[in-house]
Amino acid sequence: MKNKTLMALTAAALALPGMNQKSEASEAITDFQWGYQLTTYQEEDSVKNKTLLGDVERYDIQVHQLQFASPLGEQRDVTLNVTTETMSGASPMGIGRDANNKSAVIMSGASIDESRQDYSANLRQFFKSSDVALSVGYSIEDDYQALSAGLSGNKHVNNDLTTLSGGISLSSDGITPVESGVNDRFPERIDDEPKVSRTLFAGVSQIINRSLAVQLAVNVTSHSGFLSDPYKLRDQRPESRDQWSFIGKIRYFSRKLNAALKVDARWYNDSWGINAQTVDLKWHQNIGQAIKVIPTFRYYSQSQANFYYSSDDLSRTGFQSSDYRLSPYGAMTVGIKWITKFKDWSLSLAWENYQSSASLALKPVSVENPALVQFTRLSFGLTGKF
Amino acid sequence: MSRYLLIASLVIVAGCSPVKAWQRGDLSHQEMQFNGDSLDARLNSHIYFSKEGASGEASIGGGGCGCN
Repeated sequence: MKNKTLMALTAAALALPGMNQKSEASEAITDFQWGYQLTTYQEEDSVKNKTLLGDVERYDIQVHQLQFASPLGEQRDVTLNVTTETMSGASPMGIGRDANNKSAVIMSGASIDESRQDYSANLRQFFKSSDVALSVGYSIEDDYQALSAGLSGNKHVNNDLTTLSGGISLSSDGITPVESGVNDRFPERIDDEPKVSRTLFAGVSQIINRSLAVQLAVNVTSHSGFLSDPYKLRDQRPESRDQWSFIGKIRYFSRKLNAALKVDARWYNDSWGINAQTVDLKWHQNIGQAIKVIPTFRYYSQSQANFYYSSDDLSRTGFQSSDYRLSPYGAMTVGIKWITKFKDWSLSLAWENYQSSASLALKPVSVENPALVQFTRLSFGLTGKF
Repeated sequence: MSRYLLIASLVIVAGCSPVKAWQRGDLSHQEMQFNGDSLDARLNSHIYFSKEGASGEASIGGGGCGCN
């Protein structure tokens, strides 16, 4: 009798909205949902006394994101994403030495105008205690195309306290740099080169108690093909790169404070010799039913690639790059997001500032790359459902 | 690294307590999901992919871009 009562109570609880809680989403959406987000961010100008040549004004970027999600019956849903990104400004082409023999950036001479369109679709099918998702994507810009596909899934076990997740994806990319013809400004540039990326991830999510859940995951990505930057003055990288990421996430809800703490950490290393650590903290403070304020903090540190040099040398042979993204440095992001809900609508505003420097790295850095980027980002978002 | 993952897994399993379905109200908040706001997550992933040396998420990624 007691068991029957318990089962009835459980069934009643599961029927309540939001109570069928597993450690990952486990049900198809039931309403048509849409979302739009406009983001604008501006990279800070290159510092004049650290710039050898070219325009100091770096990229100004605008991103429009549109998302639609719809149920397809009770056990299936589909999500479509369209992203348009436009950017204009100058970009670092190399690192030279100034009159005092210090590293200084060589920027592209004129402003570059670029745009990228990204389309993707994700179809999910739900079963009693599992789900699978098929995703396809296409990204196109003047000098780069990427076609990708992926398959992922979740399996809920242990009375739905544990979720096992996994997935594979493949991206086939083509790089066709501009101004690379025989009669163009840079005839030495490549014309058309392929690149293939394969990703495998596996993870386990666990509900620890009624307010705490954790996730551990590993991501292995392997790239092959043309991995150099065709727009740099001197950039020659290996034609393969294997990346490993170990990820840990914590979600904690404080009923007393009506707030949630999100902690995401990542340990990364790759076959180019880069080791990186990332910690991302978000505090979701609910204020009543309608307002949410989310302060964020992110810290990142990386070591340099094996073939990184602090300045270019045209007589050097072999693998080499002075790209700041392969240099040793650390970065810090602080931000805040405000979300207001009104019935089935929500409006969000976000501000974020990113600073990177050698002094923020976990280990001492002898020469800071002068092209390290800083930017401030503003976002405005709207979501709704009906 | 695998040793640390094993230790972490054992600690997690040892620390688990049975949580019935009707006790999962706090866990059902949207911010408690591991993959939260998908527009933000997609954008963050793209921005950091284009500006940093490391990348990799607890999910499958999309295609590449000319930004990195």
